[in-house]
Amino acid sequence: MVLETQFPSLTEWFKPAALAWIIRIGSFCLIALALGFLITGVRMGPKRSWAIVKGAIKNAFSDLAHLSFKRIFAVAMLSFKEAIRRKILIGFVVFIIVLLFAGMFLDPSSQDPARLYINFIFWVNNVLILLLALFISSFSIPNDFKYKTIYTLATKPVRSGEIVLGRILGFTLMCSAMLIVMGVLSYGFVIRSVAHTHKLTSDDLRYVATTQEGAQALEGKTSTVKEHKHSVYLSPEILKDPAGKTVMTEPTNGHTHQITIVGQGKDRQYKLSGVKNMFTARVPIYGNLRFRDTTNFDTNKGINVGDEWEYRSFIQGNSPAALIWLFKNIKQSSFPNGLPVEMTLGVFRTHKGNIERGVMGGLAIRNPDTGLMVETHLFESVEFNTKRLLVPLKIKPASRPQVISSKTKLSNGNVVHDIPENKLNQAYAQKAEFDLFKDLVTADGRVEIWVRCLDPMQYFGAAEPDLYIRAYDAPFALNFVKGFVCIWLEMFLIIVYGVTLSSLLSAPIAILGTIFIMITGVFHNYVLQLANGLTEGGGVLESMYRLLRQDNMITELPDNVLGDVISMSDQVINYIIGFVGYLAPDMNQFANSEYVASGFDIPWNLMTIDALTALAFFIPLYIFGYLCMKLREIAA
Amino acid sequence: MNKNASFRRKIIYVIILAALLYPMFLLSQPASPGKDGQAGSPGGKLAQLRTQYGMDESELGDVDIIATSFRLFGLTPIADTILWDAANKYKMKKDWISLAATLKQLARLMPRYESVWRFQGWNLAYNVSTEFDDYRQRYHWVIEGLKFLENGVKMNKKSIRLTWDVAWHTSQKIGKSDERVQFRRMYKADDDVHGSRPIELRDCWLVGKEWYHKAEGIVASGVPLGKISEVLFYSNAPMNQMNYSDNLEKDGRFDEKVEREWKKAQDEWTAFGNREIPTSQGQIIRLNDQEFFANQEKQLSRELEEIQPGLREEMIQQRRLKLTPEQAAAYDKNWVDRNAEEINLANEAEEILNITNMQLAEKMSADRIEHGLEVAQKLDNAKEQSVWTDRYRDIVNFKYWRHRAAFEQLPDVIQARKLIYEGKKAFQQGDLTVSKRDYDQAFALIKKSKDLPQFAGLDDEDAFQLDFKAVMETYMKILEQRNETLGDDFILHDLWEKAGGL
Amino acid sequence: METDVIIETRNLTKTYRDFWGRQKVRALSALDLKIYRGEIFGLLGPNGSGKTTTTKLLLGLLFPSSGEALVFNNPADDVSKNERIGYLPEESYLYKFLNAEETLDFYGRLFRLPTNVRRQRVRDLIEMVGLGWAKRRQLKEYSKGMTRRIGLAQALINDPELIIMDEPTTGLDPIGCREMKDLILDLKRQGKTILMCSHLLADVQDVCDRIGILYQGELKEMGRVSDLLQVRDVTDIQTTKLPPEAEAEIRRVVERFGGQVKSYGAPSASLEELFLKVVEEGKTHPGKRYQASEQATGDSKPFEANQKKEG
Repeated sequence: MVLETQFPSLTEWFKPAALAWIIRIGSFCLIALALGFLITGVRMGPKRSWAIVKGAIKNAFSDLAHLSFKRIFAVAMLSFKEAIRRKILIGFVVFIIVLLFAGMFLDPSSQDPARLYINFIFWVNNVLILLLALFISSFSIPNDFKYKTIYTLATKPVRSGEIVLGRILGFTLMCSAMLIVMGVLSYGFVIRSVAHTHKLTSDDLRYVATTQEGAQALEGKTSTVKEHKHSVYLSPEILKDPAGKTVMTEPTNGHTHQITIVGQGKDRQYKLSGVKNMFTARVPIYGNLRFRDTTNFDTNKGINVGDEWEYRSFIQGNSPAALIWLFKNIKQSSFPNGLPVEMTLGVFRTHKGNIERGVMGGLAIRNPDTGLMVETHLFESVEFNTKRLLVPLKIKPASRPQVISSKTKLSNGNVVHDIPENKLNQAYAQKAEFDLFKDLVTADGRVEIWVRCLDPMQYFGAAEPDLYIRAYDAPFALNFVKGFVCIWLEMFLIIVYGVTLSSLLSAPIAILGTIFIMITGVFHNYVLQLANGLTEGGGVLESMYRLLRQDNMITELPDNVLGDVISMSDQVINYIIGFVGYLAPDMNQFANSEYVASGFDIPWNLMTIDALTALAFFIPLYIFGYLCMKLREIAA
Repeated sequence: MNKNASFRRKIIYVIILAALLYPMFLLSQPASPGKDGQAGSPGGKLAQLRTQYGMDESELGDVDIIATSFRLFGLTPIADTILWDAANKYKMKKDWISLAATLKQLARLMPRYESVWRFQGWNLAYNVSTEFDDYRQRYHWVIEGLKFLENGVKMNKKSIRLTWDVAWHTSQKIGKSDERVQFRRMYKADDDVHGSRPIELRDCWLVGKEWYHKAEGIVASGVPLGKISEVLFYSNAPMNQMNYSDNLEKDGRFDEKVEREWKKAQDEWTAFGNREIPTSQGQIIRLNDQEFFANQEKQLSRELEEIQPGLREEMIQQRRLKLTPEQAAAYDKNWVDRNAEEINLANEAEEILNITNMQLAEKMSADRIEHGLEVAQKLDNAKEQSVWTDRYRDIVNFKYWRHRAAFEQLPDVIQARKLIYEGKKAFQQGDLTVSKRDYDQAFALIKKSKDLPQFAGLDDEDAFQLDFKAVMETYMKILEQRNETLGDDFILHDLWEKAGGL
Repeated sequence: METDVIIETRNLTKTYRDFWGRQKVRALSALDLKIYRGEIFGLLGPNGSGKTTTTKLLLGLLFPSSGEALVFNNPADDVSKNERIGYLPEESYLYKFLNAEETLDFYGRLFRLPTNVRRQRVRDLIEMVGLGWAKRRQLKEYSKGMTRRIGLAQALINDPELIIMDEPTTGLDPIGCREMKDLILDLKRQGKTILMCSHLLADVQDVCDRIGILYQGELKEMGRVSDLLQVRDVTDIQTTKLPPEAEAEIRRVVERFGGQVKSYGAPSASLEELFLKVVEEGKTHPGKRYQASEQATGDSKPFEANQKKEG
């Protein structure tokens, strides 16, 4: 799976994030209070305004203390009933209709239908539930004002904070219920749409010779369903006594089927099962990638072979160059059968070479403490396909083992070895067989995996997530649910924004405002880049100036007053843009359907980070909503 | 009473609605394709009209609700921009699955836009396929591109360009790419692409030819060619036949089938030569007729001069008087000695001194003028036909291929090719003696054949020389291995010299 | 006797400003008002005089431009006072998608009443306002009278000490009007304080102890009804029916004391009383119709003064 941004672990993330949050919220509150103090001070004198400010703060805390869960729950129930009785369930109907027609929209002959279908279904759910949440939440409080039901409400001892919180809670419950139902239907839809089976008859199979003397195997292809078929290979062992045995077909389009052989002789029949191995949720262990260049020095980046997309870096073939991954915390108890390694390499040929054969590569394991390196596999690369290799517990080396150290050149020119040269003991390499955990993995669980390209003038390329150890498989259904939880978090945020903004603005403006903020969230990175002046072509006014004059991006601004005005205004505008950019979280961190679709478990640390982010936005927004409600003159 | 009346009205409405269903069904029933050998139904009136105008989308499985609703709301440009952008992004990130899906969505959105089909079909077959290292995957993506284009043809049955694109890419991408050996092999075995097509016809050149014929059929049904060049357009099908025959020999077949196929190629080329092709000037030419008009030109030219002999020289003399001294001087000078100014002057002089046939005829005496004009007219016509036919011949290398088809049919030549094939195989297995012997024998046969009178001038053809150079590449390697060099007594020495080998 | 001051306003002013901050309307000017526990106070005035503005200021729905509004000796915008007050607005501002039971239950929850108390009150109130037959119907299907009644029920759900009513009898039919007035007097008997705004003078006269009259945002008159309306220079005597000879003698007695008989005859009952009587008879004797012959004789049934009449 392509992972362009890897998320840090929870402990790494939490401290700086929490600190940043406290500083931002705290400074914002202080600034707001200061401004309030100044403004009222101007109108009513400093003593009175200080009393007002103090009173306001005291009020706020007292309100907080008096928050009653019973009342919040009552308001929540009210919102729930409101949502149902406003016939929001129409959204449901739309969902069903979209599902029914999805088949025409999706490509059944794709080589990876699971991925397409899952991405599609997540997208549909995401869009629908967000729209639903947006409309439900944005009309509620403005309607209260429009129909003056707020008068009755405001004359009851319910705090403004409770009104806001209760509504948020009620809508969240409502939308969660809908999301759950939609999720169940989606799951069923995906499984069902992809489900199929093939037919296999004796006519489809032919006898072929094997390497064993006189032993024959059966080979053939299944019928074509959904524009693909599977190769079938029945080995001589199976054919000795075939009745009742099961065999797996070759994988095609990301799945296999199980064949059960029934009957004897002429009546032999082959029954194929439904789809197997299509829906997985791998839990990968990633390592740290570094590159070794042809002069044996380790660097952070490899060679760029001219790709626009700089995700992968390349190394040369038939040279000391290598891709090196360092893994930590590898314990024998977790891997009793050896290390299951999966890798997806990029391949670049400078000449066609042998067209019939993939570029050859070698995989080796190295002990970072002793420097012992043993090559375990020689493989034929297949670009864009994931190769699975199992490093067994007992390793017979594929080539002569070595003991080497890794050296890096520092910026001041010094050379640093990870193992001092005099400590390298070549005796380690003098064995016929090696034990994975005794010889190659260090005591604290560190081990390196080296990948080299063997064909001259060809290149291998990789990014850090391209090679991982497949620790275990989590249940796919759970992963599916996790994906939906991420959607739930987005939905929750939308509800919070909707209710909060609508406590101040009218319903259509609140909707527009929420949509605007969501869009800012989706383009979060770009907005921040823009605000920090890192985008090409400068800021808003500068670009406008160039557009009007039809200049290209490199043309300098004029060196006169106009140019100066533009630069300075842009700085101010950038500052404002930066401010707006922080109003919404990076929505992309919630969009995790690609994990589910590609068969990778959504890491728990990512989910925790998402949940904490949602909470981090909820708190200030809630305070803002509370203030808006409280300060609003209801009957005006 | 009121309740009853309202109820009755509702029942009447329902009956009317039900009755309306029947004519609606007649109108809008979609066409359905044939299943399992049964013929499909042409569908209701609207579906028939659609077929008639080539706007086929009417088979039930092809109707795209989403795309149609996009079009209804005028959202097509927005969706199109987003999808095209997404497609580029997927291509950059090498996300082929998503790219293919997005392209299919794009095509669904604007099925009548030829350029979308053409571009993306080409994109898949040429750009995406090369990103893959494994030839099997490259093949898969070439076929994806071809399938994509074929879908486009289904949607735009009257599009010449799309049909032509399928033909071209099938022929070129499978037949001429670096992986052609592997591709052709896989193509032959590919049941999904060919369906019930017999193994014999599963050659990319033959399939391409089928599609070229389809394209020609569209033109024959009345769709104008537009800006497509006619001479190139109609040359494609017979060229495929040529390539097919050539490929047979490259695959190692040298039996009577090869001779038959080359004969077929020759016949098709002749038929092509007989086609009436309009030129950019507006006259109609036929490629076969060049010799006829060249001869006619010679005859008529002689005839013209004989009507009033000496008239031309007279006129030249008269015109000379009109030259200025500078022009005359420049004109008389040897062309190598002229400087820039003098070249200009000389050109001017030449122009003035040029006497066209019509001008000559006009100056004839009264009793001969009528005849003269007639001959001059015919002569000019013949000259023009000859010149233009020659030009157009050059475009498709007409003479070379005519010769080549005939040449390759000679049993000697087939035998020579066989010897070269076996010789190369022997060389790859290390048997230098056998391979050199085969090559030498082959060269002797070639010399004998090419010296035949009907193939005079074949030597000078660039394509023939290139072909020979490719053969010589291996021969030079053999010689090098044997520590020998090419002697001056080499049987095809002249040809080798012409090919620039020395 | 210093009784509890429930409501007090000091120099209460409200000016509506437009967007640019300029003064638009001066709704209330320097109102000084005190309302004591246990009394029914009527706020009178023509439309636009500031009655509703005053109630909204007291409820905390508006913020004063200057001056103070105090309820239970706390500022009016203190939310905790809401525990002890009930508000019956002119239009019923209730959620239309709830039914009667749910409405009362919701507001009851907002007071954090114990569940059984809440449920009991809901039942009692629905019965009291006579909506038991419609308690499961959504409020959007209610008639105006019904919504007024459910509004009244929600105002009383918390058994408040102070009830603020805005035009409580406006738009009601005579029976409903009577019932409302009876209810208001009943509430007073329970010791509650009531502030009501109205422009229906007769109704105010019937129930209020004290009144204030607003005009163009200013308090023009305030005081006890009986004091304000008492006609000082006339004595009112009511007797049972006397024979016609008594008239002359009574005139003589009055003149002896220096007065003058201004009017002598049978008094008129109020139209309300007639109406209620007809309705009552309609309930007990259904099918009885109006007889045209009675009109011809010119002798319609006389009104018996000794019928039910509440004062």
